[in-house]
Amino acid sequence: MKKRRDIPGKIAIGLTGMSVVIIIAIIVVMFTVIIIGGKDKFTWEFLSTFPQDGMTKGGIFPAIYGTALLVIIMAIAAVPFGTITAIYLTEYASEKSVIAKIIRFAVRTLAVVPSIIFGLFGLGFFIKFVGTGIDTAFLGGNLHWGQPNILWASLTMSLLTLPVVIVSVEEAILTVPREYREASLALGATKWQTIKKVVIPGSLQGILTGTILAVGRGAGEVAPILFTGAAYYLATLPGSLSDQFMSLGYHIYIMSTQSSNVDQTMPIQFATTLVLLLLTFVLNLIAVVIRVRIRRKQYK
Amino acid sequence: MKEIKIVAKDLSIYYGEKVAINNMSIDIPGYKVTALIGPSGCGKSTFLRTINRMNDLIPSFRHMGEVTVDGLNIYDKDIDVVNLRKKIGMVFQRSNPFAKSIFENVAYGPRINGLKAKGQLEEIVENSLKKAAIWDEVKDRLHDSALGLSGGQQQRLCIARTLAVNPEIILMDEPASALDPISTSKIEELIHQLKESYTIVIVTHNMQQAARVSDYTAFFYLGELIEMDKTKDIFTKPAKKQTEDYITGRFG
Amino acid sequence: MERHFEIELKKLESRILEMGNLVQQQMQQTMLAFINSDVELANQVIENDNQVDILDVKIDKLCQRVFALQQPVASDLRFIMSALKINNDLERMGDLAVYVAKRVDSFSGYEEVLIDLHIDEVANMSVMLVKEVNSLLSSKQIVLVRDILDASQALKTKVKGISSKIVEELMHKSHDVIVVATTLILILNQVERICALSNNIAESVYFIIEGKIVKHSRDFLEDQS
Repeated sequence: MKKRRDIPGKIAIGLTGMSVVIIIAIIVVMFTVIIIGGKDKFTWEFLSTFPQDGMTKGGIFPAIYGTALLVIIMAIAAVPFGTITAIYLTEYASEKSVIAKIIRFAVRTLAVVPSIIFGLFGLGFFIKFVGTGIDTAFLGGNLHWGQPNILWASLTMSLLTLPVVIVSVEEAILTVPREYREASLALGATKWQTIKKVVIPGSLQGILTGTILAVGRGAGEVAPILFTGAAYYLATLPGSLSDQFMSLGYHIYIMSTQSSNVDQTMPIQFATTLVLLLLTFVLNLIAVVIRVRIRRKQYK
Repeated sequence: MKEIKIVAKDLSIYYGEKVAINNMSIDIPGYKVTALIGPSGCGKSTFLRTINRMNDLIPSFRHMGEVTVDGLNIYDKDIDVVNLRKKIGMVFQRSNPFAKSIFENVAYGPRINGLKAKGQLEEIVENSLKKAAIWDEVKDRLHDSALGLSGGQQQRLCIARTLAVNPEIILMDEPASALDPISTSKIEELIHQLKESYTIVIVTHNMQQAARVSDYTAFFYLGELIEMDKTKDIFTKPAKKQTEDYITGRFG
Repeated sequence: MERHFEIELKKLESRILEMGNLVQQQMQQTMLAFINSDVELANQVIENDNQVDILDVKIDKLCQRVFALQQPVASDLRFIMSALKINNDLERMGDLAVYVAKRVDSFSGYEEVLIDLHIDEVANMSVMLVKEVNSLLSSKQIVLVRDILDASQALKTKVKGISSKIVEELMHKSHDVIVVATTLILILNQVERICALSNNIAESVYFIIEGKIVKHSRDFLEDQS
């Protein structure tokens, strides 16, 4: 039999191959530029000291600290809330439930809302409505909660990352074998006992993945914290929930657009970007590894 | 005189529009092993899962007629399903120990019943494992993961886990279908020992297994009970031709 | 498509029928030789017994194989269990034919004794009985069970009558006649064994069809009529 020449197939292979090469090339170039630009600045001192001389010298410690604090508070808010939602959706809501459908629709919508909208919402809801409300009601109108701070920023960020948590936890709950639930129920466990003792322990890895993905997302976002708590420069670290904070993403933004001497801050920008990139990259990698392990367990 | 433990009367079961069991009546004697046999989709598993109301988990499940255990209608609105399931244990086709230690698997039932005393728990775990004929194999590694056991051991562990709740009835849904012959014969031997103290209902596709372990055999076909009799009679002289054709492998 | 198992069962069934035919032929020839004092024919019967033995072993092995490999249940189980017993009974009948054949030469010169005692009737009835057993085996008609039990009862009565006649009349005669008479009584005892074996086979066939074990009880046929 004569070998057939599959010309459209070859074109397809050529095109897809080219796309892969382009994507990899972009990533490689990006990393190379950032690493080369930032490698001289990327030292322990840079990571552990405060900015100096109008942020043209010194390190980025407060931004790292602020980002870490932001994502921790965000996770504390988003993970339990997201987990409870996921449990409701998978365990309690029936397939036909209207409420469940509305929740799912809301979650999908939340996931595609532009992040700057979250920022504006945070400003309007948390600061102006909740914060000012507290000030008026309990503090006699003294301005304390009704201004940007790390708590409002974290809560705003948690709204942004909630869909990520919900979807990850839902996926993990669905991988808990039906046989486990049946075994538990057949032993005379109530539904809640079954969820508490079998379903949640079985989905811990998924909850962890969701948390890490949310943290990775939250660490990089700037828009939601723009109006809700991030500061241009602070001489001290945030000491309470009502303090403002510095963050890596915002820091890069400031350095590259607001600095009086862009040339001088260039290495700092690169190094900060490198830190942020490494952080999100490592977090995503961990999440991927855990996911793969869950999937493998599921298909075993 | 044999004591009747489970009675179904004019029972029909539907999944949505599909009829799974059609107007069936059956008496299942206490402290005996009753095997439910029949081709796939004949309703035997559906009936088994009706006895401990596991079917409640399926949204489209509907039933008509009644099922009584010790004379109590289990679908009565006063019946607490959780308590019913404590009285009626179930062993599944795929061994399904929790991803916990051997000890914790067996202690699961007593714990959810609120038992906390360590000494008592240890006693129940040991007794249950002994009754399930697996104690000698696991006594030195009670705190190892149950998932490290072989398939046959896992299944006996699941039986031990069921026994720990002290049920009166044990439902078995093809408990040995995924096991090798040696493990299968251990499970069958175990069933023989358990029938002194428990009423056992077992669904099996393996005719020889039904013949070996059961005192009574019920043949289901297309959602109906075709025939139920002493196992020795079913396997030597069944009354119905359909039963004969099925057990001799001349079906269809 | 026919299953392997069914092929084995059919094979077993045809082997049993073959055995029945063979034993019937042996019985016919031995009885013919007996009433005619035909020693040559009798020798042929003795020779042919070898075939009965070979078939007997074949059937045993076939049953063993089916039991081991197919784990028969219900009607299959009853059939194979019964096949084993029927085979055994037929083989014993074959042995009885040989027993008679071996003693045919004792009666040369005493043909009149046989005629006087109507031994030919016994021979005919025996052959008829075995034929009926054979047709029961091939047709499995439950009505024949009753016929066989009746026929064997009649034969037994006949044999008993002749035996007591022998004791009353012939035993008082000469030494030679007494020897012949004793042999005759031994043969008639074997004929009674034929009746018992026929009954066994009839009961086995009844068990195949009805699934009830009826040996040692005679009243089972009352339900039938």
